[in-house]
Parts: sequence; structure tokens; C-alpha cells
Amino acid sequence: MLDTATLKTPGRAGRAGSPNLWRGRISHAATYHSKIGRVLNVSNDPRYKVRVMATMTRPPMAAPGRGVIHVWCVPLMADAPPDLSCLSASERRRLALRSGAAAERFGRAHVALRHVVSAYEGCSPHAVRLAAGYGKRPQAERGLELSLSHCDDLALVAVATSAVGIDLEPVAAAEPEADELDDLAHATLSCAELGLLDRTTAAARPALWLRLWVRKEALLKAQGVGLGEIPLYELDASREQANGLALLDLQPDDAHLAAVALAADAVRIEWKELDDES
Amino acid sequence: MSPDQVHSRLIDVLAEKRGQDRDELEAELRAAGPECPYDSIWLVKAGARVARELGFRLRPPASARMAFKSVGALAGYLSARAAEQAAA
Repeated sequence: MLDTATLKTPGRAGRAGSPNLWRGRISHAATYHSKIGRVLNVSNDPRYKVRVMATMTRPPMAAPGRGVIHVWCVPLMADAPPDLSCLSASERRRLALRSGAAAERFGRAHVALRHVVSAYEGCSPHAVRLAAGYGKRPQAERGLELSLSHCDDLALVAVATSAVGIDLEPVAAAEPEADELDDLAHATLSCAELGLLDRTTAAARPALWLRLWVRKEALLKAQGVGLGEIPLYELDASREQANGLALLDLQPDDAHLAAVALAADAVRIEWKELDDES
Repeated sequence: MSPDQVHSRLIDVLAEKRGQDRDELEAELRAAGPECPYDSIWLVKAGARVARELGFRLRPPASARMAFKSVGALAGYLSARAAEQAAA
């Protein structure tokens, strides 16, 4: 919810139509808003009010402590169309590259990301400033580290105070055919991981491969590395630690597997939902 | 197999693995962009199958980074690898 304060027209506080007084009002508003928000509908015509969008809507939520990741679980499909008005120009350009269900999921996931960050910054999602390079983690202000993953009808947003990565995949992505699983393993697993797969029962191997995949993706995201910059088979995700990052498996629901990686010795999760905090 | 044939085969495999109608998937892919971007995990799965059909096992180096961002890129990569294999 947004608090809206409206500056009175000059006619109430001073002489109507006084250009100097009006400029003073706009200058004051601009200064006010440079600190906390945006000025909308600014006009030099004293008949128009300057509408101020105050963006400090609630106390900021505390950032996660050391070794803690807040994982926000966000359903993506809903009856009502998503409100995309808070997306930045850059996010809209990326959205325009997609269509149909993929576009809707992308839009909802990035709106959710803004809502999550707004909870920590105590502002509206419209006021959140995010920077994201192609294939890179989104960057927020105030030292928050973020990672977003979405598939099908679910998105996960990881928030931490050190480098973090999260990946989410559907359980259906596990490969049930033994011959094809063997080819996938050859294409993506390290020697240690291949050994782990060999020591696992045939029935459990598809799920294990998927677990290793999401761990690898989470590691790559936490390191700010895109898929393929390091060959997957050179990245060993078979242990709790890899490349100075702690790994943890997640299962948000029966239909998905996920993993997080954090620049820390150990990691603890706190699950969050937008309805709880927004 | 030409890149276009590999492209078509990748879509066949993706549709099978995703349990989707092939023509609907192709329309969805083409609407997303000329290179048909798609999720990397499904591209790796489809790529492993098609690589086997082309006579080699998939084990992409770091330089093949962009091959797993789209069907078009993966088709180009697999077609080139198959040609190398045949020339060797």
C-alpha cells in the first residue's frame, strides 16, 4: 500500500498563481522525492496539485544474518493477470522477448522479485532499483544479494548478505531412461559425481542426477558464472561445500527440486511467503 | 544431418520429453525468438539424445556455452560436432 501526500496548491498557502511560490513548492517536492520517491504529474500550472508518492510504506524487514538465506516461495499462476507496472524499462524489454505462458511466468517472477526486495527496503516495488546483466544475478541496494529461479508455476527468490545462488527444476526433468541417463551423466557430471551415481541404486539415479544438476546451477549462479563458462563436468557438486560455497538441497513441494549455494561455511534456510511480509 | 534437420529433431525430442504437442511446442519456440530460446536442462537432455543419434556422446566444453541457450544454437553445435566426427 502506498501512502500518498498531496502538496496543496499555492492558492492555499500563498498567492494563487505565484510563479515563485510554485517553483518553491516544486523544488521542495523534488528535494523531498529525491530522498524517498518519485514526483508525478508535476505541472507549473497552480491549478494542478503536485502528487507526491511517498515510498517509505513500512519498516524495512531485517536482512538475513550470516549464513542464513531467506528463500521466498512464490506461486506464479493465478487467475488475475499480473500487475506489471512496477517493472523497469529493462525488465519490460526482456519481457517483450517472450510470449504466452513463458512471458506471464517471467513477468510474475520479476514482479515477485521486486515485492521481495521492497520488503527489505521498506518501499514500494516501483521504487526498487535492480541491476541485472545478461545471465547475471540481479543486484539490489543495501548490500542484499539475490538469486531468482522459476519454472512451471513456481518461483524461488533467495536473499542473503553474501553471494547466493538458487536453482529450481521440476521433478519431471529427472531422466528415467537408463541409457539416456548414462549419456546425460557423461555430458554433465564430474568423476566424483559419476562415482556417486554408480554407487546409487538404479531407481534412485534419475533423482540424484537432477539433484546434482540443480546444485551445479546454484553454484554457477552464486559465482556469477553462466551455464557453459565452466564445463559442468568440471564442477563437483557431490559434497556440502564446493569452491568455497556451502550447498543445501531444498524441496519446496512434491513437484520440484531445488538447491542453494552460499558464500559461507554453512547455510541455514528461512522460508518466506509474500503474503506473510508484503 | 543439416542444422535444420537437427533443429527439427531437437524439437521432436523436446516435445516428447515435455509431453507436449510437437507443433504447439514449435510455435511456442518460434514465438519466443528466431533462435528458439529454451530452458537449458531440457536442451541438455534433448541434446544428449540427438548427439547419440548422430553418433557421438555429448560432453560440451566451456566454449560451447551458448549452445545450451536455444534450440537453434544447439542444432548448430551438434551439426558441427557431427561433421567433425564424420571428417575424423
